[in-house]
Amino acid sequence: MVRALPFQGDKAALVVGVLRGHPGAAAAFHDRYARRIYGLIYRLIGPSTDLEDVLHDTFVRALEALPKLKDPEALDAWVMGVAVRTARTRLQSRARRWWLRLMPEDSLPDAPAPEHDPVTAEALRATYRVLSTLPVDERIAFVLRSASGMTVDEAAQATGVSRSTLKRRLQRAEATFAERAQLEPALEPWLSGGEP
Amino acid sequence: MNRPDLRRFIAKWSQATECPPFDAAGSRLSFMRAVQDRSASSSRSAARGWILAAAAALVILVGAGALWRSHVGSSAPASVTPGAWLETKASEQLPMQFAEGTQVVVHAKSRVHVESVDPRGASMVVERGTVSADIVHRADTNWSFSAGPFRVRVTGTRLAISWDPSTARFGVHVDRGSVVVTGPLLQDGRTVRGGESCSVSVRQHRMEVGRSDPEPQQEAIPHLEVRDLPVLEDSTETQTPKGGAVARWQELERQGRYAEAVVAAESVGLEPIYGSGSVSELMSLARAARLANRQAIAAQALLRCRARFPNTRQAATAAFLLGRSAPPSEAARWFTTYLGEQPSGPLAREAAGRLIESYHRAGDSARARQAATVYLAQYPSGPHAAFARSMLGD
Repeated sequence: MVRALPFQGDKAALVVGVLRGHPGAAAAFHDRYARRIYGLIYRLIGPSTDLEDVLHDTFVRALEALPKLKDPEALDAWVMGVAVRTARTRLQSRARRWWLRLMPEDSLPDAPAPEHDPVTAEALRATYRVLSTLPVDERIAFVLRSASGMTVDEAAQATGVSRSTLKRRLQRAEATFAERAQLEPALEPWLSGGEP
Repeated sequence: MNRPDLRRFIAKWSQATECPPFDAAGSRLSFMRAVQDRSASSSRSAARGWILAAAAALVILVGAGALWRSHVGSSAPASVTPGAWLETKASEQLPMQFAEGTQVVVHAKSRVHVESVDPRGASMVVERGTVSADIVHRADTNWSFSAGPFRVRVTGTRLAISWDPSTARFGVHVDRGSVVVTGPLLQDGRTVRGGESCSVSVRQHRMEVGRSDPEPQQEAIPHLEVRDLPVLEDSTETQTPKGGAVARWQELERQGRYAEAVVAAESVGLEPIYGSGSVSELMSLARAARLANRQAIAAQALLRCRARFPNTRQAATAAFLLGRSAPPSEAARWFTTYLGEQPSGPLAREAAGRLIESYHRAGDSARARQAATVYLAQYPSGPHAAFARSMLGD
């Protein structure tokens, strides 16, 4: 267990503390967002050995961009937006590597985390197999709105698009996903309501 | 797929991807390092002037022989007001004495940030290097030190803390009293008591807690109880190869079978131990080799310890041990090195005495008398006092 160094203050103080290199603020900033970011990128990218790199990249990007943050009260949404953009970059990079055949198709996505039972692990693998066939922006819209439980407004803000654009992407993603998911036998338990 | 199917699917998917485990400690350390790097690079040029000014002010005060007694709190000098940075070069130390009796020394090549100062104590961040402190115990003492992701809570004690951000290694040695250390691998906090040392390698996921023998005549090297923790796959440090064989030589060393331990270490290769072994592995190898009369291996292990873990208590102990087996003139250099690095360390009295002997054996009578004078001033009834007096013709 890692304990936070003592830091007290609101979001504005947290931002200033991080920018000034205050270790307590840095620890508090990390602990406030690490789990949320990791959960988000896990759902966006799927089980992968890349995730901790993406988490680190997100924090580094956030640190670089933090001086430009205008409203510290919007910090939570702003950090999630950085995480989405970082994950998007990673997904695009993956898609390019797959397209150029630099990476075998069956390695998308990487092996599921070992803590899942075999049926769940296979269903997860199938889910991300289907997601990998969607355009990256549609995939992100679908994940944010569904698995991550964001509202349309939150998802639009995190992706930096208008509400209507987000809704269009979501509509297309849901239709495509629903159609292709039917072709994955491993998703039958999740679609039919059977166990698990 | 109809709507209910999609909702059902999403519920299952959300559940399966909820709270994935990840290396929070490693992530936190990486981020804190990035924050520190960014802060250091952006403020280095602006801060350098006043860091040096603060350091120079302290050096002048101490160098002039004035005992700097700052009234902790509102009347503290500007150089230790909250937010002050103190930085030392390779050849300097910054000793500070506070009005309530606490002494703090910022050792060579260290950088310290004074976070807060109040009438009950201060909070300092060891950004890199070593800080030792002799803190006077009072009911309301409020001294604390942070080093990387570690935090040391202090009541009354004498201790030394070191942190190397480049290798993510933390160490604390407690001479007297006790402290509670929190941070990676230490769960809810680890109490370190007088005579004990605790070191943590965050990258190697290794924590070592051991007891140092305060009597150098009996045993100079702390015998560490090593507890290996699972090593992360992404550890950037080279692991010592052939772990089973390595464990074997260390096990033999712990059993006092020193000659066999050295042979076992040689069988797995000494270079990997020299090059990537932990500080305790190097000290264990040196101890086994010294007691097996394999002096060349002992010397090499000690030299590597000093090169790879500079500014640590073990590096200073290595200097003392090198002095013990070196020819007289070289021995004097090592004992002087130890005294420079650990002037109040557990081997300081012995090093000061052996320094007189070394100069005497090297035929340097003038320095022997000088060392004898210093010795008698510090340890008038020490084990080398009679010898020191004989040097002075008393």
